[in-house]
Amino acid sequence: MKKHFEMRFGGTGGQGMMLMGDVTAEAAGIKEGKEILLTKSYGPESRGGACRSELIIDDEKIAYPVVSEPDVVLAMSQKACDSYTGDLAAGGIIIIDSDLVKSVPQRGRSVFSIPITRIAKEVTGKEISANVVALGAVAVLADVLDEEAMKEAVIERFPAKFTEANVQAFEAGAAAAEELVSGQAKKYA
Amino acid sequence: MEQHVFDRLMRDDKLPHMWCRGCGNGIVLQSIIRAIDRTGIDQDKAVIVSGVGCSSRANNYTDFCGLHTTHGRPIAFATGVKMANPELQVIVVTGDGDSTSIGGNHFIQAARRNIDLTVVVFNNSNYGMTGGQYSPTTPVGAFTRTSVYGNIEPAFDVCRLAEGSGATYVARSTTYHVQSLIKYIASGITHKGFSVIDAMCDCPTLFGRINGLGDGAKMIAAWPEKTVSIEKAGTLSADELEEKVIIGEFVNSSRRSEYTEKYARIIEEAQRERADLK
Amino acid sequence: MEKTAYAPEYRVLTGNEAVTLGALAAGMNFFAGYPITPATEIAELASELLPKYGGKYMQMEDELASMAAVIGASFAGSKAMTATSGPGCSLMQENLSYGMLAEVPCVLIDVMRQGPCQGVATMPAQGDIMQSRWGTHGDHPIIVTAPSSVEELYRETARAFNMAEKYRTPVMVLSDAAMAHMSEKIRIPAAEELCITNRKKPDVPKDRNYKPYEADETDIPPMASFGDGYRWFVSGIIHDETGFPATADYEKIAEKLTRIERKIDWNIKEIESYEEYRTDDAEIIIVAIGIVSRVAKGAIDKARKEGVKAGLFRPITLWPFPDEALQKQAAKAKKIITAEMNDGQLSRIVKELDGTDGKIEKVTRNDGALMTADMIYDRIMEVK
Repeated sequence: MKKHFEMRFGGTGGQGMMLMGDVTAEAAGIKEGKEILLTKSYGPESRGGACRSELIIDDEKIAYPVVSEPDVVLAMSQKACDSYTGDLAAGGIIIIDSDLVKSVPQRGRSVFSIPITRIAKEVTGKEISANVVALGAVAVLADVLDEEAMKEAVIERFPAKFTEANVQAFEAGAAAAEELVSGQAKKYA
Repeated sequence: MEQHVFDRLMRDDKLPHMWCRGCGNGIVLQSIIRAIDRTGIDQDKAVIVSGVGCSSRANNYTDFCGLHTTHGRPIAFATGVKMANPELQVIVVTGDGDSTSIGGNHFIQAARRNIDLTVVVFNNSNYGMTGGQYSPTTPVGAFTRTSVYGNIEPAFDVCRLAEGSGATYVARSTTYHVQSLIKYIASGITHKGFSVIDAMCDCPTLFGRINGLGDGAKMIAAWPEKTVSIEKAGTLSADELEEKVIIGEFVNSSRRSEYTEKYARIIEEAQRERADLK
Repeated sequence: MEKTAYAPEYRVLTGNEAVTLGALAAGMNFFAGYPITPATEIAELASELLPKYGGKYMQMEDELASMAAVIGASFAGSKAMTATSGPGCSLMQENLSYGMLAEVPCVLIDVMRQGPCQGVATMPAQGDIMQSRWGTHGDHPIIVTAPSSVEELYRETARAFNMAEKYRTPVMVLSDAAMAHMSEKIRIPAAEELCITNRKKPDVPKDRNYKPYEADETDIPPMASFGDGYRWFVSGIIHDETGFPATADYEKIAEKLTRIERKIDWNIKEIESYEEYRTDDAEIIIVAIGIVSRVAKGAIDKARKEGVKAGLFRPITLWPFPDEALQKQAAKAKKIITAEMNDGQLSRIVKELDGTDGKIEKVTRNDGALMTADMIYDRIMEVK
């Protein structure tokens, strides 16, 4: 497994991309005991602008707090896909919300298309759960992450009354990703 | 025999004071001392905070905790003192330049918060310590070392400024009207909230001389002519009030809560929440 | 995947969160500040947490007032802090100098951003190295520390409070816009590990004869709090041991200014903190603070793979500067490379040290981006 791993969660303000970073950092850093470094950047708008959180996971202390060659990019909007996928690492993967991203600029890369927001709506009735669906998908597709640790981190992040809905959302995202993987053999290892 | 109030509340070893002959600051200082005495506040729980300028030397001579700060900032320092320990009675001695020019923002913001400070403005219409330059309370047309052609800047009315900013006790008196000055300062101290007492005083050495106003005694004696009570002012026209200084109580209100008391409720609530979490 | 069992005291925090939590752990019970990017989150968290622990948060009208309120609160017995960035730090200098002269324990966090003036509010820089030392008029001591990670921000903020209390002086902590907003996993130390220090209180009778600036052999005068029974006076004018102005007495003026420098000098070994990385046999010494020091290690490792003996000297306490330790390294080094995110402020400090003549090279970055390991590596290879 890769020692140094970079991921980026990009979308629009309000989609919960920052929270995805927090949950994944908690899973990898606290539950898995790895070194992590998380950064977030916002556009000038509080809502509706492109924003991203970026997480570096390593076995050793992380010196440089900048993601330069992400191994995984999640794009939850067309703008995020356009702006945030150009520096993808060789062998890296792009996960897109297939209803929100219509074209992926980088041809020939591993792209996992999942109707993330639609699944959220179907499973929990709420689009706002899309980031939890995405976390399930990322947990499966990013090999550096442990699915159980991620699920635990999701559960702990929210008040208990949301646990059931969140577990369903997480598992639905994971299942969608598994389906893609088993369908075309795992592209990233 | 009972000790004299000055012996009890002042540091006689620091006297004589550094103010010029005829300066009105001494009268304001003794009014503060008598007012403190009248309120009966605990000598060990009072802090007198000052800025920079002639007036800000006043707390050198008083036997309380004294905090002599930077120019314009005494109200900000005093805010920290009061907030950290609301049991303390915090009195600010400041000048017109200190409180309404360099410290103008601190003055209006503290008034807006209605934090329990008593601010006594030694208002002598000029910067005395630097040699008599015009300040925000110098009357239009007055001469100072930096307005040798006559001052063209309209003056702040300290009381209206305080009132407009939210102060809940505001009064003005002069070095002539000493009994009311003492009364207002005492009221300001007992008032729970931001209190401002605009103490009109005299700078014969600089402002008085350059404007031909005579010595200290003459300047003090001129106050009855120059002033009008707030009650009487209500019956006069704007023209009649022109160039008159209105004295009296402008505001004495308990409608707005005091800042540190409100914050104490925040602490209570936050601690309850914290207990609930456990 | 093998799981490591970690105790729950590990947390993922941003640099700004770590500063606030470190301060609270050290006993902060008063915060006054004014919003400014990239330091604002420190104030936000303080406003939420302080009242939960009985502490006070005040949002002042500006940075002048913030520093003033912090000093006022300290005189009333609080452990007080403010947090700002370069532009606000400039405004705080006036009352920071009051804190120096009047010997007021308090902590100032400066989250450095690209400057001068407004600069770029969101970009990190290290341009306040000199401002933190020489930003005020006149001479005075100051303690400034420059952490390089989220964990160190937590610990150094707590240590800043301890030093402020122990030496009766303002202490500054330099963070930057990058560390402020990035999250790392940190180990929250147990309270005992932080060795919480409280200011020494006077034990003389509670009356008007208490001399607030009468120091014993440590040169650090015990400090009463307003309201605890002593009636004392303190002034921003140079004062004698009574606290009252001593403007006509040359001897008293010199005595005061000399003592406040001396109280830090005498404790320099305890205050001083630095890290050395692979310096044992190093011929090229990189000098870097804060976030730059992190990438410097990568550059050193890479250079060593090429057979170049490089090492890092990292001042953690920036002021007083750990001169002796660096001079020791400088004496045996062929080259010293200062690496920093400004136009060469650290370089000026190092130039003043003995044994560095003709050895100093620098690598600087002033465009608001982080320095990279390659920039330092390239410089090592150029000068080796």
